[in-house]
Amino acid sequence: MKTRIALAGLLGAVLAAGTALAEPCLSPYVKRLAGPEKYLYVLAVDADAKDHDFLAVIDVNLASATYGQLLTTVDLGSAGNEPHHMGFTDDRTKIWAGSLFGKQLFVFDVATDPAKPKIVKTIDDITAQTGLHGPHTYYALPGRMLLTFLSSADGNPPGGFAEFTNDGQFVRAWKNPAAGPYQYDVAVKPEINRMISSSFTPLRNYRKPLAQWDMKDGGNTLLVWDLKEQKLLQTLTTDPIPLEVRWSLKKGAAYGWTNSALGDSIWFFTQAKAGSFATKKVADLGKGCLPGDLRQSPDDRYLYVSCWLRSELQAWDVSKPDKPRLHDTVIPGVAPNMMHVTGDGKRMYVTNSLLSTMDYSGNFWVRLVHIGPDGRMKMDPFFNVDFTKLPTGPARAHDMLLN
Amino acid sequence: MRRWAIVGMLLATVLTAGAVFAETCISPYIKGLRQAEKVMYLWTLPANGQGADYLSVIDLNLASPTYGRILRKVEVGSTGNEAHHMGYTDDRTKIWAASLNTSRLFIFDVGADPMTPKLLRTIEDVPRLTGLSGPHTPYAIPGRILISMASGPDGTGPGGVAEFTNDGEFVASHKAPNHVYESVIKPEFNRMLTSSWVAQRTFMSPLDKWDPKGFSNSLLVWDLKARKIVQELKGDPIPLATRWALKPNATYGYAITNATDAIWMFRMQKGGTFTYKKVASTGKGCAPGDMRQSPDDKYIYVSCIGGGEVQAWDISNPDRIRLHDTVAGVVQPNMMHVTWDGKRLYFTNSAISSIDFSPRYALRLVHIGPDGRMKLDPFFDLDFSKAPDGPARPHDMLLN
Repeated sequence: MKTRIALAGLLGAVLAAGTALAEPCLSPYVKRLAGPEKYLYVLAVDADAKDHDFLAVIDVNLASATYGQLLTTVDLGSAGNEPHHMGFTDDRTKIWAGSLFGKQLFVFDVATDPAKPKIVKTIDDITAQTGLHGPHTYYALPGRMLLTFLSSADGNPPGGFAEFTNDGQFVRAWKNPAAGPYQYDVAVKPEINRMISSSFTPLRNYRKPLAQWDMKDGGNTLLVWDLKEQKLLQTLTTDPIPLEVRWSLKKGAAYGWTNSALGDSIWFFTQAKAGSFATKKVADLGKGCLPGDLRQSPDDRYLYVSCWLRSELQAWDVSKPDKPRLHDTVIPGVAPNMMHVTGDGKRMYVTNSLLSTMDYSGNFWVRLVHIGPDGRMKMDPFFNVDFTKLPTGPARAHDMLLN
Repeated sequence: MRRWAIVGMLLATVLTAGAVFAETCISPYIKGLRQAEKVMYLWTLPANGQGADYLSVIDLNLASPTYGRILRKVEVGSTGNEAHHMGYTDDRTKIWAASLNTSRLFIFDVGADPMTPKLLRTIEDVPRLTGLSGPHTPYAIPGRILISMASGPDGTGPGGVAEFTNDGEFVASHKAPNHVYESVIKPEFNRMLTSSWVAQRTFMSPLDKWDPKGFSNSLLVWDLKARKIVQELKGDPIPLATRWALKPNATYGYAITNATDAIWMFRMQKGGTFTYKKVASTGKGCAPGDMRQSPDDKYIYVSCIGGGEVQAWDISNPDRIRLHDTVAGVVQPNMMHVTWDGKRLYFTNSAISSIDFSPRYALRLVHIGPDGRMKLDPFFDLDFSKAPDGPARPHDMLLN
């Protein structure tokens, strides 16, 4: 007992975070990290698409002699497929990842040796299996993975969903309704048996250079689903291109937020007593923000927005959930996009590639923001993984997971 | 002429309004530095235990071309001493440097040429001389040095306080019922407090061998002039750094308890007896290693060896202290040193060779703003894993 105290006081401290807080912006079914992160996995695309896509493993164990350095990369075997997002299975032993241009899907074992992920399964043609193209979000359900797809097999709307077992057996797929054909992210709230999906743009648009995009060829809908039945209940509207879906982390809370990329706004969704949902715009992010990602603090107090176009990170105080207040900003460098907040809410890792067809800067990196006790942000002046100087040359760093 | 004098006076008044200057966390008997530091002395030990321990002399003169670099090493001629804490003599001409493992005491002259300290004397056989072992903090009193000692001559059992003249002649030992860590004196009240930790044999063994039954858990209140213990304040185990509020006649101060991640407060009552209570948690896993003060008694700074951060606590309301700001992402931070103007905080990140868990040894600098907020200097980064003769553990610091 007392030995425990001593260990907690000194050595144990290195391993144990020990707070009640949990890693936000993961499926609630995913097992959480017990202590501070040691490895950061970053999904990346070779910048000129000549070398293969890869998963990078970065040492984020503060005590390690190689802290802040690239440890290894896992080759995805092909180039220019635009790997984008990824997700843990519920037991956190595997990571699922695919790509927005290709048809392959990869399952990595990250449990046997978290420092050296291994591809244990590859699905070569996920489009043939599902009738859908462009898997975006990889979301854990008990024993299964739910994937959103941005398009149908031909690259046009509607997008849809597909469900697999954790070991990669296809279970079923379904398409978005005609009233809400565009697809992007999904998040569930099991306590109220609801799931909400958001909307982006399909392959026919996003594979072209940004200048040629049809800005009207995108969604402005949030779809409300019965989680168990996977049945559409309601179609909600927002400003154009609502991206991330973030439910409040409070137990049973029937509300949350999404970031509208083209509306430069945060929208609030909430369930009324009668059961139906409504949306409203609750924050103006300022013209030209183009919010690429939206993240939460584990205590439900702050939302973090990456202004990809304005190169700024914003922290919004959401103590009053439908009245967010701009609390702090920090400039991390150019074009911040994906963020990842740690389970203790004290750190946020940031990358700065959006899509190879959209990126306007070649200065790719992974950086670190510290979040103070008052919710204010400081850039770590020493943590800077330079993705322009990798062994294979520059690469676009996108989604991140911690282990 | 007179007009200029008035303008100058006004300007000086405006510039210094509200500011309090004091070099904190050194004995009140020491002549304090009243200008920006030009040099740091850093008590250093080779990481692999090979080669002599040394005093690193570091250029801190912002205008100097070698700013932020080690100018020279002053070796002590022996290794494995476990270089740890240091203290100035009251006249600031000498530095006493203590060794946790061998109990050797080294006296350096820094008065003749502050940029080139010279080893004047090595005191061997300290346990035989004093009946005590494991010297921790040298602390100046007029003409003399008090050294808190962890244990008896064989490295076990209770320790005490050893007293020497500034030149190194042994005067007396004052026994204590616990493993003495460090002293703090408030001359206005003729009171000294000592904190406590573990015996030498314990702290020189790996952490998983530390037996909690041997942890001390009290502050001792001493009658300073009589060198007599008048009260024992029991609290959480391993109260390390202990700081008395700087205001004249302030009756209170704080201690950090390493084994329980807490800050405790002591306060002298009207009748002269002390109370002692826990006032804050530094957060699970912090493992507080050092605590420092701002010159204006507004903040205390706590280093979390385990938690990887430096915390600033607002102590404007002394009984209700509040976490104000943190500098995070810094591994194993331990010793700190705040400058006379309260605007800079240097820190190192080796605890003891027996318990260090990261080899990323460094000296870093934090700037403290007018609102007490801290910023890690992005350019000041003295990497001791790449020290001149191999990786080294940097510990205690003094400025000159």
